[in-house]
Amino acid sequence: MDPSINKEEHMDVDQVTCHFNCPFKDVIIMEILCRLPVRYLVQFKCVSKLWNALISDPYFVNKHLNHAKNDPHAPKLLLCKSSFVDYTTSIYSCPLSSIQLIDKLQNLIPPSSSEIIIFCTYNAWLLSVLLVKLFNNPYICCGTPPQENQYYFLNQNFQCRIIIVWNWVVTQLLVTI
Amino acid sequence: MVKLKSNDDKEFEVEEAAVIQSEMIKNMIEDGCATSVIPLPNIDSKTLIKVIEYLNKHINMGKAAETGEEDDLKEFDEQFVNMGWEELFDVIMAANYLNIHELMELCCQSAADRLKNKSVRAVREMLKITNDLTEEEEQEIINDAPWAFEGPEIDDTVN
Repeated sequence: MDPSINKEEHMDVDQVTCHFNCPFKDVIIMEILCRLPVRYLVQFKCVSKLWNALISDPYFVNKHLNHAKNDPHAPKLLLCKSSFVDYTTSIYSCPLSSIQLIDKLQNLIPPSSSEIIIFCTYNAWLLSVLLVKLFNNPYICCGTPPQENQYYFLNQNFQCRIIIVWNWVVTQLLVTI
Repeated sequence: MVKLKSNDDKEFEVEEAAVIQSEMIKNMIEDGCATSVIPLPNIDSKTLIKVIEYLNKHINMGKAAETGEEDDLKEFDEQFVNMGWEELFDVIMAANYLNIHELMELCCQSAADRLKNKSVRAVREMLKITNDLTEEEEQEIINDAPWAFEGPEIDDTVN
């Protein structure tokens, strides 16, 4: 048998195996990673070029968000609402899913001060002050933990002035309505 | 009964009611393609035994809820994922290939829980990944979101 032909065939087999294995494993990795809080995901971007690309990928970000929405243990949004009638401020916690937002709002703490502070939450625990102060006026803000990758809040009948969407994976402000 | 064959040529007989939890095999049976042995070229016998153990236990999820065996099932699941990292990964691959939704959920969640608090170095080792990022690139990722790299202790162990 001609050894050169043999070698060529061998290379083909290797290539096929590689093409088959790699994307297959990526799917599994994504399945596992979409169950992790964002803080770890941002850390794990340092694992390799592939992981960095994978975690930053919009497809993955969406997948992660969808997973978080259906998970009752996922962290909550923290909302800050100001009334323009009596100038009071309330802070609420509510789940991620846009369907159940309004009904499930839960009044967390009635701040005594009228000063607007947007908090950062971690599983609805107040961790640190994020201080998103916009236009020197009271706003509603989906101040979110470094726990979830993307948050949005539908206005519906809830009186609010501003909706902010954060994407924590890329840590940038996406939309302000 | 349905016969399954692992990639190391071992045959296993499984009840149809158990095996149809795998969407892939369910479709094969419905299409009349499962008359003889079903070869599973991606799954070794050790992993297949684990998967069959799971399928047999979860044979009737609805029935468990009715008879109050839910706690029993929960306990089984907890015990089931109590396996080595490599083994768990093999079961995930098998569950993905066979398309067994519940098993996939269970094992992926367990894998995710194990990755929590792990250092980047430990994750690389666990998944046999070579770091191809330059030091500058790595620093850039850290600088982009320093909050993610502060705080709780990081676990450097691999398991």
